[in-house]
Amino acid sequence: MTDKIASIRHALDRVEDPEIAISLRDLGVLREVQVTDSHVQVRLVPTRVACPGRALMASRVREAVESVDSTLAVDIIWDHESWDPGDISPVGCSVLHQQGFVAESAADPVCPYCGGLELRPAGDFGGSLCKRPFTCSSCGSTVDMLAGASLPLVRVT
Amino acid sequence: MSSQPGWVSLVESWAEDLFLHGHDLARWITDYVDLEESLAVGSMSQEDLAHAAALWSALDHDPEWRDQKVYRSDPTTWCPSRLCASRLREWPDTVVRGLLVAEGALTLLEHLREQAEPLRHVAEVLAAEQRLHAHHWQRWVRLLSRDPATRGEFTKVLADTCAVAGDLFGAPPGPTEVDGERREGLHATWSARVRSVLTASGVEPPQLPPRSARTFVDDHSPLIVILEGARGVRAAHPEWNYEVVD
Repeated sequence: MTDKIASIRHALDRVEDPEIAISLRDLGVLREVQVTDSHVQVRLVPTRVACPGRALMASRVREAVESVDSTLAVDIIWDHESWDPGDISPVGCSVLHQQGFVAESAADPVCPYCGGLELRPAGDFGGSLCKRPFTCSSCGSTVDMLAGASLPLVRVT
Repeated sequence: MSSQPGWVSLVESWAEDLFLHGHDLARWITDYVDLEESLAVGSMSQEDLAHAAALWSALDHDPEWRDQKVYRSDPTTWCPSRLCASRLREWPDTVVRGLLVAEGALTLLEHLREQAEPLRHVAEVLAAEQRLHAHHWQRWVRLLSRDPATRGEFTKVLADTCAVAGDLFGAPPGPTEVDGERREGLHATWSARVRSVLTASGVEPPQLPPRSARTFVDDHSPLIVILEGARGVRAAHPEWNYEVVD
């Protein structure tokens, strides 16, 4: 049983977000896994309540469990806890940076393209709900910041 | 929740409003020259729909109930505000309704967070997201009211739209209003918020109406058309799964 639990956790740790190549664990979406003889309960926290990737995330979580033991029932609990960029792991921040994103929780948010330190807000909404666009003052690139609802609002002129 | 019947009615009314508003906003997603605005409206549309589902879920309405409500219920059982039962026509009235609804949702959610323990958690999460909506519409209020080319039309639309917003915290028709004091307080708070936002934007606030009761829709209400729009997609594609998620 111990081996099976470890295998299930390992499989779930590899489940990726549907949009960005980052694991749900590192993104802070996958929070808790409980395994019994017949059930696996997985608690997930979406980055925003309306995240359109939820159905695909749930499907991938089920597939991950089934890849270890297809007889187990999978209960997925979507928690209405506020996701916060601080929930992204340090590894996750690095993964995001490599893909051209900035995590709001990063200690020193820098432009992933030129390393510029000044990022100006460019709008309230980005290409998806959890992204907020910023413009790098140094190279002019538009950079998406993964931001929760807690990101302070700023006036965009 | 059963010990707070007033909350149930109030939250259910607002869930209907957010669903209808979100659904109507979705019509605008492909209508913009400006891609960024299209993304913003699409995001707010998704979130309003999700917030409606989250409120229904918080009232212990299961997925079957939500599906029946959205896709199969008799429209005459709906009791939305007059504002959200109408169709958005042009950009200025979209901006004004967006502002009034977002400020109303914030008024309700911030109150629920403090006063309704069973809904405290979900109210806190939804309020954080609605603040972004309000912030976005406030920016558009400033833009439309300051540009000489749009100021005149915007001022008229603002006055006309505010005039029909008196029932946002109105009670459904019935013999007695069990939570009139609470609703009156929320209406006053909402009115003050709207006046404050408009004043800060350099706009002279129009007369905001006193609180009035909601009414059930009749057969000729635009609500029928709005719901037919949502239900028509399922009718055309019964094999697709439209889940009212929370």
